[in-house]
Amino acid sequence: MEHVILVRYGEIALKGLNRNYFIELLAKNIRNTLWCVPSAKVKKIQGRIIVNVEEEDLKLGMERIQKVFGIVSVSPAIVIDSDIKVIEENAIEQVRSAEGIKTFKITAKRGDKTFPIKSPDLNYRLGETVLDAVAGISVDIHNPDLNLWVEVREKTYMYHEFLKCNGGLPVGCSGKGALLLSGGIDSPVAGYMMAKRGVEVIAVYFHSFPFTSDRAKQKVIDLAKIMSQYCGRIKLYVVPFTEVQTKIVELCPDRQTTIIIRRYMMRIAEMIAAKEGAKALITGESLGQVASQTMEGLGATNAVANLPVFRPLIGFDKADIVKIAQEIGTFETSILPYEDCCTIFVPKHPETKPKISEMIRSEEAIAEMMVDMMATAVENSEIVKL
Amino acid sequence: MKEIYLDNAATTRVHPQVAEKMMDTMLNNYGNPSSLHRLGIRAEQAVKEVRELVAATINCQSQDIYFTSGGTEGNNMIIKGIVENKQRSRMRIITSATEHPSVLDVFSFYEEHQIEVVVLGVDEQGHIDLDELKATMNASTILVSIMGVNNELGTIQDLKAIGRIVKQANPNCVFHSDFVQGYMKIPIDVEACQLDALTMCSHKIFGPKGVGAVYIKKGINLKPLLRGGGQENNMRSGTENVPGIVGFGEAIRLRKESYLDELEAIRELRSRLIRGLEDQVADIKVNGDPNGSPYVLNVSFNRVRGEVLLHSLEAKGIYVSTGSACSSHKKEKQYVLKAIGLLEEYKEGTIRISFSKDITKEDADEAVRAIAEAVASLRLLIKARRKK
Repeated sequence: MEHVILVRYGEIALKGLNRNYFIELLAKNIRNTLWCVPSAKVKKIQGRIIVNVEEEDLKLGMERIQKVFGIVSVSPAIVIDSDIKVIEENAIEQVRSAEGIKTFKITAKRGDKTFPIKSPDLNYRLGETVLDAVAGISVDIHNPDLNLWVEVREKTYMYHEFLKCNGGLPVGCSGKGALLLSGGIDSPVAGYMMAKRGVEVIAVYFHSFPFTSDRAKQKVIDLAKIMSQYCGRIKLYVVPFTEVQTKIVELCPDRQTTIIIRRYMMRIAEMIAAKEGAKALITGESLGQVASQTMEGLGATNAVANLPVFRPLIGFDKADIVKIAQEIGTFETSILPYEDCCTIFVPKHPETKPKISEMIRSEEAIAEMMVDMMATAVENSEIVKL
Repeated sequence: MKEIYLDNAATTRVHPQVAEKMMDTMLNNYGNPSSLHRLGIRAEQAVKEVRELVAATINCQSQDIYFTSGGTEGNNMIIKGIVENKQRSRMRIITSATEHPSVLDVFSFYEEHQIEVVVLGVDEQGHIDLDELKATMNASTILVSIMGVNNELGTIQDLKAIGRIVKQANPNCVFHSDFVQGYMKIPIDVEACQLDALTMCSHKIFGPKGVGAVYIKKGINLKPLLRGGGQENNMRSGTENVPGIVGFGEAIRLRKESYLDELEAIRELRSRLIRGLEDQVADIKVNGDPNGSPYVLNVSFNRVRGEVLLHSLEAKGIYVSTGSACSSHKKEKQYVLKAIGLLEEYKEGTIRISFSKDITKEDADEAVRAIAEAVASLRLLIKARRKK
């Protein structure tokens, strides 16, 4: 008896002529996430992807596949010969071995029209066989404790669990985006959400040693690693940012440093995006969350970007973001108490309504030296592949 | 880049001879001391030798030495063991505000259990007030626990005077000292100090991590923390960490003859570093007692963040700490500095430099240069901000 995971995709099935491309991509993403399950084999069949795994790898395989975007639901199933005797035996066994059930139902579907029994007849026959064979059980077609699906194709698939997945689009189908990843709660969630819409995420982290320690950097690497379970492999740029940041702190008006620092982060991220062929920037900003995320603040940072800036959390409350962070498993790492480069040099009275013209004027003092400094920062970035 | 390791109060690098001895023990003397055959006897013998060695260094009987996994276990074992062995309705236990968390946390745990917990404050050098101790002692006091050498400041408490006060006020009261930062660095005599219990550990003196010892005077009854096979005379069950204990022993042997001379050399090194800093850096404050343990130097820099200074020095291959490594996971990070009443503007900018015999004068000078440089550039940044 073989074990497989049945993978159902929803939205991508609608994508007209590109359908095959989407399914190929999804299959590839599934293959990639199963690198740690050597027994897994990914196949496409009509309207489904099926993954063959050894029984002992089933749990791990399910866990990995459920995190891949573009999947609506998965079911662990057994594969048996399309022979009515074999089907009957296995149906009995499946119901018998299910624990704590009183009622059941059979949902049989004949996909292979050469199989001699039609769907309704098969339903009826299997129901009766199981009812006779298993003591203390009855049929309930409306609200059964166990719904046993029997799909008769070339082979027969039998399963009773439907596990809902995250939906979305296969990562990679929407192009590449550069995520500004700090060590906080928000940015990993933002990356997750864009990956869900099919974006391949590269991450950019600004490291201000000695103001931020190597533990803060390690924390970001750990976060990217957790994200990669959903987003696929992530290329993380660790940008040496100390020189740029301290120059800004030294030479720009105190009230404006936070915004100006963020403007330079956007510029550097865009340089990396260009290098990587990314077509958008992604940030974890949420309107009004901190002084620099007022509408004016966002406007001032947005003004330096030529690429579209995706801010998937813009309308989210902190509590909602925390909830997602907890669900995807980044929260515990995000709250580790290491400084990130945004919390050092916080001005006492940060500007909450910055004017772009004023920012430009303040940046005049550093603009020239920044050209080289930014190029150096990009060039000296450490690239970590996760 | 040459590394200058100035975080020896956190832990030390194992002496190569210690590592060698441990390796040899793991490969060749691998028996379980409780086994009846001769491999067991050989292992037992090795442990016994170290037990006698430890006893000799603190002036006690070897039967009064028990091996543990280190300082935290030792402190827990003694404090919990004493408190939980007593069934009295009124009990008072006394400690000081600058103890290691493995003492303070156990005390505050008992605060919630209807035991009268007294935490003595300290003066600006970190000493407890002996008169206050005297006034606090009473007939229901079952335990006084005062550390020998403070891990953050190096301040040495007068254990002899404390012992006298404790025993005069209440001869039945147990007197314990956490001596982790003092053992094999400054001399100790448990009899002269009238100590009933002492905590020691190996990895602060070039021995391995995960091993330590406690002294518990004969006749002191104490409820064991770990029950099981009855090792260590029923006081600490669990198969003995034979290679660790042998390594600990070797570390002691290597220091036994020389540590008093070393103490003077380190004192000079510390003074040299202080002089250098005072010459080259303005607005600093040396904390603790000038006559404390020279192995620890606690110094504050106004207008600098200790953590940032630490990382700047790290980039130059110099390793120091802020506060103590043991408290860096705690919420209340600077309780020791708070207890000595250090001014707010200095508190944030405090680092701890802790020495070992391997540090040369040149290393100390290099450290001074690096600190001066780092402090200057950090202060420049702040100055630039203030001007605007």
